[in-house]
Amino acid sequence: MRIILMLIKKEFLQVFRNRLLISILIVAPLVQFLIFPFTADYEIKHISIAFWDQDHSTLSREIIEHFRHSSHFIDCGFIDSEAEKEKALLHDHVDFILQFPPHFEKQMVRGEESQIAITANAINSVKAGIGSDYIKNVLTGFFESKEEGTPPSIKKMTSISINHIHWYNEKMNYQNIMVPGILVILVTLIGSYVTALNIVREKEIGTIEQINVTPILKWQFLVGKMIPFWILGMLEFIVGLILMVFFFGISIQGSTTALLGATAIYLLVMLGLGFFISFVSKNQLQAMFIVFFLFVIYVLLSGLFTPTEGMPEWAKWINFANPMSFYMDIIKLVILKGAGLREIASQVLILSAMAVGINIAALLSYSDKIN
Amino acid sequence: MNQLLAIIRKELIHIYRDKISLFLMLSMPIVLIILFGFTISTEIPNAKISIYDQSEDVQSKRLIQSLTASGYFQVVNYPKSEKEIAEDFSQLQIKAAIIIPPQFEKKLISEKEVELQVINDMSDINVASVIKQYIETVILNFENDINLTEFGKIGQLKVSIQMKYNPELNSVYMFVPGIITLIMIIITALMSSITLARESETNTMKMMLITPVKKIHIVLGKVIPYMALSFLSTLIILAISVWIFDMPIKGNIFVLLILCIVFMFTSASFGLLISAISKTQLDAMMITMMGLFLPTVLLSGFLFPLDNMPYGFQLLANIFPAKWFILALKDIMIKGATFIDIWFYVAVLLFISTLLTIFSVTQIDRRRAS
Amino acid sequence: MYTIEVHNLTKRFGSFTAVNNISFQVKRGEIFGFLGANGAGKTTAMKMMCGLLLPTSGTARIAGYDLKTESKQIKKEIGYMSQRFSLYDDLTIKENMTLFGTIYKVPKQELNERIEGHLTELNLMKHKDQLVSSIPLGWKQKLAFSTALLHHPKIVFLDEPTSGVDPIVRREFWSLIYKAAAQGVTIFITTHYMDEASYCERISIMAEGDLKLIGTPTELKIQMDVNTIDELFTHFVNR
Repeated sequence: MRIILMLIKKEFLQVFRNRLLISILIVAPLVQFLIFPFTADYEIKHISIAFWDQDHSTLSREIIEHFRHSSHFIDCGFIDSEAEKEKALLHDHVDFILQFPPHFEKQMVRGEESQIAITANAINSVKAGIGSDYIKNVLTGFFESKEEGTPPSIKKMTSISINHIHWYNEKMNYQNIMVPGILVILVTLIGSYVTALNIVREKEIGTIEQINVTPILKWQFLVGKMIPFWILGMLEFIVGLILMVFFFGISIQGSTTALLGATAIYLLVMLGLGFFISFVSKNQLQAMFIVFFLFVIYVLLSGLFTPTEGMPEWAKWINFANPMSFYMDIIKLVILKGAGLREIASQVLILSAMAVGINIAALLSYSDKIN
Repeated sequence: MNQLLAIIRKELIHIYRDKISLFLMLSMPIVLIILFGFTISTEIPNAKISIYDQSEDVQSKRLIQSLTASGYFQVVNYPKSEKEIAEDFSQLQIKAAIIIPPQFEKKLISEKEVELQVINDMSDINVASVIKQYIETVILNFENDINLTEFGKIGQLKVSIQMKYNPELNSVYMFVPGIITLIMIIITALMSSITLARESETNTMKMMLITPVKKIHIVLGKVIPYMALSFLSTLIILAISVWIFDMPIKGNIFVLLILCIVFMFTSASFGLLISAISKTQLDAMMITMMGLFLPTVLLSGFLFPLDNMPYGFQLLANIFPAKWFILALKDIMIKGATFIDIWFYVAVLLFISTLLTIFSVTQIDRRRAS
Repeated sequence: MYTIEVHNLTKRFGSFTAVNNISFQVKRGEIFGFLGANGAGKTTAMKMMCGLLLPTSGTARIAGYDLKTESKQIKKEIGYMSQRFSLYDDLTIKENMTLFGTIYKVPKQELNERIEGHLTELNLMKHKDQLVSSIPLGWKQKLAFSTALLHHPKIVFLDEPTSGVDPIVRREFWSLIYKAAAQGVTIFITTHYMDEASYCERISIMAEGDLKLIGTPTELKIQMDVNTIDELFTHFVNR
């Protein structure tokens, strides 16, 4: 209808005249794509170790050399005393200290128990946990690799090695999961944040009153706002998708059509949510807070940073009301696991239901009469 | 002084009247802690796997027994072909498939060397690395059992691990400093910048400037209530962390609070700067979010480790006060650092505050002149 | 005959009664001045008549339609200019007019002609592509008024349309008002400028939610035994 086209034209004019908004629409995705994937890397790449050799034996030296040549560790040299150990840990100079007691070799040769002490700088608990596992593995691996005969009592032990094969993500880097995740965040932010502030602003400056006095129908007003922002959101998504494929080399394994369709629906959910918040908020500050609040909860629970399987029951229940978790599933399934429409059908259905629900709620909360 | 108090009172009334925003402001730290504390875990219960046993001998069955008894896994299928494995991945959503090669027992006992194949679903790397660890743990234990029965205690190596500063590998340490930082930025920087921008947007600022109220009182009066709020939030966060999450605070709590106050000033000076360059509330919001909040989340070292980042980013991180604040905070809480130990960080924060304040004042003057 | 008929219109906000049981009528083509001090309830009453606020009780017929049940039709027949400028200041003059004209379903060709007509009359044709944020207040007010007339409404509600502008602009504005009234548009205007009160055919005075007086300026001066409208006014505002 003519009215809706007019409203769409109005929104676009306003958006493009808002220099700050435009720069955010352009800069935000760039920042997210160029910085985020490079910062969001949980993989433990560098573990620094220092050694305290109180034994100075062939065995202890051999073990130390083994670590120093391993590619997983950064060699931080030797320490000689408890004081040095304290200092090294306190000032974050090392992640781990490997300590060989006196008579280490003798005890090992005689078949007695001997103990290597690993002290971890456990401030970074993840690093400490994974690092200590690495170290243990290296130690056991060292002993497994010793040939029969040297030293005499370290006979060949049975060893079961594991060959890990990686499916669905050959490159095995964080970017593969982060970049699609960023796409999700991008679409969500633009969808909900901008719309949430939009209508409240009209309320605050009074232009909505002028609209309310006209015979315009509520749904016309809403649709007239929804379409331009939907178009903008889809555009951002497509640009992001192109960046992902050509700049990061992550190709879409599954159906691109399904991906676009699902995104179209997800955007409707997010836009509807933004509008709903906009209608119920009294001022821009409130709207911003509410959106932000929800957004943080959604992102943390969505499975981007930590797997949803590991979350407590109540968190999983909350996720049923979290559109982002469903969309995240879709993104992973389609981009990384080659899913088509069939495999994501249930998520798409749920998102569709959410889209309908939230937009009806938004319409109902738009009262052109104050009571 | 009275002027200042009057303005503070006015701001407090504004804040109090907007109950929804107030509620959200105060509950956000609580929500964040609960989310970070309870949901970010590294455990995956009942991970679904399939086991393709190509040997079906005594030892392979014992291995399968170890896997099922470990409690980590839920074996959903015993496929008989690689094709079936592929189906298991797509239809049963298994996270890994373990393939036990033929002649497992023979290789294990006579050759003392055997290789298992594990196919991992890498589409979620976080999940995959945890699953890998579980599998390796079970295999390692299985292997140890064999060696123990064979070798007894000969040449047995023990390894002791001490987790210094964080004996329980509490991940609370990682995120509590980060949450405090974020809340301070939101309440002090964001809110201050918005209220200042709001006055200029609704033209009430012009009115205030005409009155005999000193400009510095206007600014202080608007910022102080929010600093107080963020201080309150910080106390709430610390209380929850200590009492619910058992996070110990090794260092002096007063030093900790002083550090927080210094960071509050730094945040406030950011808020001041942003309001000086924003014409509307919307602008203030967007600039704070994009220019302060987002970089802080990404580059401060609280969510993502700084060591892994390209060097350029690590340099960039130095501009943002959050990085220094978090380092200082961790040192106090975890290592029991005293004021002397963190003087450098405090100095950096004060330096940044002063710089920003001077810059904003010049901006405000320039705008008033135009 | 009467384009506005208000019966016992009341608006309560909690325990506060903003508009207390007011009743009056306005004839077609009349210029009706709705006076009162700030906070007397004028804007509240006006908003109810425009369908922006739900009355607590009472009825009204605006442009021949019932306020409660036929508000959609009412909206087609009225124009409104709020106290605070409420057109879009990040759109141009022409864009604003086109937007609202379209919303009121004025056919495209017709709309362009009307817009050109108004802009020429206001001498704003060469500024039609300027952003509203950059034009002076006087132009904004005239623009808002013209926009409210675009769809040829039966009634135009004006809430303090001339506040903040200089006397020359005010005079120009009033000539626009007279022109519209001459074409049969009912003008319902609130103002606190006393001289403007005398430009109206009939006026009413509200104080503290009540409609205290209604009649032509001359009638009321005689009735209250005063010489100027100013004195009429202070009679009710004096506390």
